[in-house]
Amino acid sequence: MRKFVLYSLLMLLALNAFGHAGEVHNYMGTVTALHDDGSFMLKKTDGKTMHVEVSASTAYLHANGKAATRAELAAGKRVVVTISTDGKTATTIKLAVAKK
Amino acid sequence: MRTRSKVILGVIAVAVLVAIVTFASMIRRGFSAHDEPSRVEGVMARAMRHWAVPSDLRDMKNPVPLTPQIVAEGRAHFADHCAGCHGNDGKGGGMGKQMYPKAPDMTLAATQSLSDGELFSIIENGVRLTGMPGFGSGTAESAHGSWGLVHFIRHLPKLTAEELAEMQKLNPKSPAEWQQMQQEEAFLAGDGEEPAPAAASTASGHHH
Repeated sequence: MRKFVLYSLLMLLALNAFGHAGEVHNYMGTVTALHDDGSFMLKKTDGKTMHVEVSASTAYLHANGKAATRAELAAGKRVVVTISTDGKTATTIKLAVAKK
Repeated sequence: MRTRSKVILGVIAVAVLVAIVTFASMIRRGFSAHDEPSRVEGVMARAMRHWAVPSDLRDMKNPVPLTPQIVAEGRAHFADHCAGCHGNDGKGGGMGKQMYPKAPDMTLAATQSLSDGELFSIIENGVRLTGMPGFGSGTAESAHGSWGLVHFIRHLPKLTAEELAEMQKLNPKSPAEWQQMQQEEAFLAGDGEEPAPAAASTASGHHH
């Protein structure tokens, strides 16, 4: 019985690990720091921080779907980041529209 | 004469043997939709698809004038009906990757070189023994929608990030996906405020 429970737990852990491989994820959060290579640190809504990489094909958009630019990304900015299947590179970064 | 007959019989016997071994090997391995069609299958399928197009459509030009409005209509139509298999960008995402044959990358020449009429026929009548259904209902409204899609398919290689974002909003969604989209919009609308934990997000702060 003990072995069964142990194997079941191991199986669940394995499924959890493999279940996220190769999937596209969206992350909501606030930019905390920008790096020279265009990558940035994102503080997610769960309080954890992640490093987001960008590529030449990363699309920058405003919340209303209109085109934005990388220059508009700044510390303190709220963003929704879509991460590609590699788990680290952003395919799309949606930026909050600045309040007037 | 006898020698020639023996040679012919020998060649036939070898061919039959090769066929039997090949077939036995295929049966033992089984068939999977994950495989790529062989070159022979591809050539035959493309030929059949070409012949399946009614002759009066094969060289037909799109009768619906190209306007920004018709491309926008085609884009919305594609996001709602086609993207599930073809992906918003037409490159064969979604369920199309699991089909046999796989949904093609429609930005490439293999699709873009088809005539307007061929594309229209494929949309209206589907393609037998593939995942492509026939969407036509034989009505003028259906035809107009399909010709609009033909314009949009021509536009696929030039699709912008803005258009893709617009299409994502129009993709069919589950209630959970709607909730997620609304949460993201609300989050982005709250600029300047402290981020609050998202109710529907998982413990790691992300969602699919």
